[in-house]
Amino acid sequence: MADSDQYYIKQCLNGHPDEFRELIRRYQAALSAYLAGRLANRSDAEEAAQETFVRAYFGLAELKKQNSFCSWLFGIANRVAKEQIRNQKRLADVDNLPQLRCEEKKADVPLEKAIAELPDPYREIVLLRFYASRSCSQIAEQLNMPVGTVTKQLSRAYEKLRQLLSDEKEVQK
Amino acid sequence: MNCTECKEKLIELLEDVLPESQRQTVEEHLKDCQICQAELQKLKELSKRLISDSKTWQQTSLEDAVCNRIIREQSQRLKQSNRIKRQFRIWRKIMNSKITKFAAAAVIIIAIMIGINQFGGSMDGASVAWAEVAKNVEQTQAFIFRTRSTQTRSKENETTEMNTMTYISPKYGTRIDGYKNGQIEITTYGSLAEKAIISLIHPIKKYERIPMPEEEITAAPEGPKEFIKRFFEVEYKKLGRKIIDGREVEGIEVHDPKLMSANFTIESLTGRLWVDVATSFPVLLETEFVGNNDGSIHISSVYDNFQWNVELEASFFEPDIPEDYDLFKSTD
Repeated sequence: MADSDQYYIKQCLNGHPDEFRELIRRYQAALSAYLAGRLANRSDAEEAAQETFVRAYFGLAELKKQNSFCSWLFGIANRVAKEQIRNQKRLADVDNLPQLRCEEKKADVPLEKAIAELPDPYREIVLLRFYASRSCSQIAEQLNMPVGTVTKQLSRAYEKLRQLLSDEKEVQK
Repeated sequence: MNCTECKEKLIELLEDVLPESQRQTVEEHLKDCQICQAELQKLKELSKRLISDSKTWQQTSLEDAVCNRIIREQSQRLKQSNRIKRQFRIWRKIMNSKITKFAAAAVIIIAIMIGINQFGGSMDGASVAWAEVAKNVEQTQAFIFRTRSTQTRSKENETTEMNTMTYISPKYGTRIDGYKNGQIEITTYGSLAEKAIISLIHPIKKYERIPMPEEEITAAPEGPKEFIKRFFEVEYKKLGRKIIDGREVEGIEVHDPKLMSANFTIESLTGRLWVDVATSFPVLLETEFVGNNDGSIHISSVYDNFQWNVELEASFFEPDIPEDYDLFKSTD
């Protein structure tokens, strides 16, 4: 199917690297938001997202389950984030944000941090649904699960997010 | 429909995937239930918040930046790959040379060091200190090290021990002195000035000269540097700290057979690298591997006495062929 991740991965592996652009467009917002939650800094998150995509591009041939590209990509992002945190010795702490972050009025930092703390399956669905602008049916198709499972997971993700956000509020009080 | 049943359906309602009949039931319940209405309102608010935050990221485009980085990285990998191919050619020539059969152990070990895997895995797990080691090794100019190797070929029931001193200079080339039982046995020069690989086998007073393009000789000195750098690019485990020659060192261990390649199959490998905590330079490298598909080759090597960034004279790399040494002929 021309629209699937698998199709674009195959195109890249068949010598059409430009097709990787589509995969970048598809996941850049989801990936960046996730990394912002982990790194607590927008420019670090963008840098880490670039690094993640570059590593993913060069690792495409090693990706065994091409239909799991998105989970695999987040796995790489997680390692990149860990490296950045370790290298910069900077923990994602909303109370201790660098100057740059304070100027980012639009970004919802507590929300991004809460998303980063979600269990993997919930986080993937939230990121796909809102940051990669996919419908529940599209997610179901991509993750090879019934739509009912997607909505159930999404429902639990909402619940967990609300809990994390209210915990955050409690801490701020 | 009660509140529990209704709440379970709210996400489906919000996502517009609820079948029409169920939708009507949920909406009817909502008309009369303020608790469920409040719950739906909270979900809508969170959904709105997610959409609003996602928009801040959708304005950013990483496409061009990522593609430019990929192009740059690709060009670097191509250069590295060509350099490694050249290194392989040099050592293949040496190994195929008849004269070096006399000192096969040394030659095989060198080839293993040079024939590293082109691209390692991710840098996952690399800490600041290890990144510093990789950088130090990368930036090193001339350096020296000692190698002590034992090679057992069980099929031939043969054990060879060989000690070598290797001197590497990006300016002048490479020199390897191989010793057996404390006596010098072979000297190999990769001479940039003479554009040749020159090997002297001392016990039989013979020498051999293999012409070599300059760029191929220049490629060769990178060998052990590249090899050490690979340690940080495969999965490794930390070994903690210990004292070697009064220096505090920290070690890592690798088992990835992809770390090396040789002219036989490597079945299992253990590599340990010990680094001076104070200077972040390697002080000891130990490798042990079994290969040849049937475990019939076993090589263990210790690389130590490293001297990084040393001054080495040009004359030290000038092949010194004694007058009574004859050119090695294929009939010898």
